[in-house]
Amino acid sequence: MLQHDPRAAAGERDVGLRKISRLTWRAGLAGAVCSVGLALAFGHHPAEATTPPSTGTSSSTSAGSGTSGGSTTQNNGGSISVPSQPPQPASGPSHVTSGGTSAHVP
Amino acid sequence: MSRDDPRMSTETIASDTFEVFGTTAVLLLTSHDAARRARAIANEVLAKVDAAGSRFRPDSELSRLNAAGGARAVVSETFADLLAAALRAAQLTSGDVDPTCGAALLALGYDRDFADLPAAGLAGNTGTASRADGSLTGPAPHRGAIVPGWRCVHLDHRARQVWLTHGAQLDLGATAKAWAADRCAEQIAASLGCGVLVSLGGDVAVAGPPPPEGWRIRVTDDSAAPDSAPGQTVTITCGGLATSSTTVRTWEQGDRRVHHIIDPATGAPATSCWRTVSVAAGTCTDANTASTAAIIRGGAAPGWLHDLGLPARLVRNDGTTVTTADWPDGDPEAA
Repeated sequence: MLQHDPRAAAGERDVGLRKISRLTWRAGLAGAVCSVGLALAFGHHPAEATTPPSTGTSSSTSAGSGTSGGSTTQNNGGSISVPSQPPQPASGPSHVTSGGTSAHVP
Repeated sequence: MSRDDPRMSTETIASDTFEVFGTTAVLLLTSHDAARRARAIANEVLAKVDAAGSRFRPDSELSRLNAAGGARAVVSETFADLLAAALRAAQLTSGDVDPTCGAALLALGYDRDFADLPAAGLAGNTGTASRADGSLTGPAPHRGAIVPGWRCVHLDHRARQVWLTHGAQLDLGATAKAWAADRCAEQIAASLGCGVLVSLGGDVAVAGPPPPEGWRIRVTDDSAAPDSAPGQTVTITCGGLATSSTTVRTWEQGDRRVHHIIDPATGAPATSCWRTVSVAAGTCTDANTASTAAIIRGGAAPGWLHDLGLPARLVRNDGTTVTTADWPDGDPEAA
């Protein structure tokens, strides 16, 4: 008949707890790494969502933005076109004023 | 005159100012000889836009479509292009610039051209929306009319057929003026071969060879403001520049000021930390799309504009400014 040794039992319990603790930490670490990977792969801030969604309609998205001198992305239905040259500082009288308009048009 | 001619200064630029859409239009040309033909081209474009997209003309294509109860309508090429531009703006801003704000604007009292409202932009602190002449237009809601959303607008561009669902009511005011400026500038430059600037109420499009010093534009809160008004002067040589502002066309509703830029999420005037946003882009339509969306996006706007690479100047309600991308450093003066 086996003798019950409290010290041996406690030692085995401690060993088991350490194994469980290690496993828990490793699982947690793996989860964190996966989360970071998924965030990098798919994460976007809402304000950065500039790619037009699918319309779900028969709408045309290729026309209507004019052709007055933009960059190569001009008339690209997928993004707002940037100017080929940015504004430059100026002094002296202006040719025109750009501000909010007091008319509701058309 | 050559674009490199250093003598081509402000004095050599032909200017033509006239009223259209209830606002002021300015045509600037690098050739005096082209002035009359340029005006004719602009008149033709603007007449087509007005006949197609005016919300204040019962005979316009837009008015008839809004009254069609969802039935399909065959539209003109101009209307199809205007609507495509509006839908593109909605797509590119994730719906922040939405052409189905017609009912919301009606609920706010915009049922006729602002040019017909003398001294527009003010009213008593009555708690109701009111015209400048004092006639009440009904309560202005804190939460506006429902905006069905741009996906309720269906355009078959090839067949030039349009139909609306879910009670959508179109208003193309957010993009049509800028689109018209683009189209005028494009057609004038292509037909006459000179440099041209077209400003429609402050929505500016340029095309063709610019003057050597570029086109000088004062950006400020109100397009009708004089040069002495606080702001900044910049030059552009291509594309477009547009400014959206909550400081014009406003009135008091209870203890708050109401303006005309509708947040589609609420159907009410947008609550923004920006009073004025100016954006330069490849076209005036794109510039106006971005400036309007920036007002609605509020604090997220600078990051959004920066990521798009769009030069912009944003003026907070307290007058301080933020710039993005390659917008030049501002004047030391206050905004």
